[in-house]
Amino acid sequence: MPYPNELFKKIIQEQGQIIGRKLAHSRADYVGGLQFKSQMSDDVEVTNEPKVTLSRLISSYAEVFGQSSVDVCIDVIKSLPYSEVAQYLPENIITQVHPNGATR
Amino acid sequence: MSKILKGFLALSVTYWLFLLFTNPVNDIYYNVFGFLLMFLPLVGFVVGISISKQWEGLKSKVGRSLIFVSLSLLMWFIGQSLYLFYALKTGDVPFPGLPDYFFIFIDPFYALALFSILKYSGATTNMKRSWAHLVLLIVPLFSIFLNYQIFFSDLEYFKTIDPSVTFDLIYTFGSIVVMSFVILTIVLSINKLGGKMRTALYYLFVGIIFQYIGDVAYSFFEANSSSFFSMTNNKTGNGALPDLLFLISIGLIAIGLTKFDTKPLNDFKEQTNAVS
Repeated sequence: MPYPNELFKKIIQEQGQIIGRKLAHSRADYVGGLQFKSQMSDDVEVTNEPKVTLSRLISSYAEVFGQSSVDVCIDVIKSLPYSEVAQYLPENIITQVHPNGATR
Repeated sequence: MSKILKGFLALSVTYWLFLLFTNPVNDIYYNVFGFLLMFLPLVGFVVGISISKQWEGLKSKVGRSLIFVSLSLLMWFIGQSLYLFYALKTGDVPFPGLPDYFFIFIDPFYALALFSILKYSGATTNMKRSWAHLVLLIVPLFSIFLNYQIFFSDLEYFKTIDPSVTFDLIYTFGSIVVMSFVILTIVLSINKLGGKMRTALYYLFVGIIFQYIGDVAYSFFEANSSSFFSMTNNKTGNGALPDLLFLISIGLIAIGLTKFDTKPLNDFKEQTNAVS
């Protein structure tokens, strides 16, 4: 699966492990700009501007457990090759993934 | 449901104060408090299991933690029911007796719940930091030292290991583990935990702390029969100060469980779609 879809899928999957798949999906649906292939699948397609959608998605999960929910997303991003995902990351997330990343 | 439980808790505390200040002679007044302590964990258990389904039960970390907390309350309910059965039928509750075989599982289930919470509260992220290593070292050692001072400061105690000592040791070991976990989770997640579920988790934390305070008070009451808060006319084992502390603990935990209701998270109209 090409980026950025893979990035979104992994974040939703990881959040699903914590808050349950149903809630993780409903919060992703609420954000908009994301199209699930099926209700039973975490495969997702980004239909909106990835940076804005990612920012909205992370903010949506942050409403559950605050910064701890954000950290879960950051850990997923860190697990992926930075060069592949950097172009889809909003500024405030880049600074959290790489404290000096904003200047790159 | 949260409001009903808060009302129930407030009425129960008021009833306990009534017992303390009026000191009634008839045992039934004290036994009523024992029944309140039996009823509340059952309500908490039902609420917890029902709310855990909203988080997909064992399939998610949050769901798992709610199930473990609920199982602790179930152990409370069964243990207290058996305690009351013995107390009312024979007037004497053996130690260790059948109720203890259920009470003994309260702490392990709380520990399992806290272990799950530790993983999603942001505490694990902070564990990578150097100050957290110090906390991880100090908290368990402090907990062991404190529990030893409170429960077993007399070494003579260990010379005869009989069933009652074995149960005391298991209870204390449970307290050490739960106390360590709760402090670790609070300290390590303090700058991470937020969002709409923070209050729910803090109700659980404070409730579990009250459980520990209740254990300490119980131990203190066992050692000092004539204490400040004793009810001189109370010949039953019900309604003493530790029972009040246990009731507050269970009440706070039950209220916390209701606050895990996912309705506010699914009510998207009220939410701000903030793009930071």
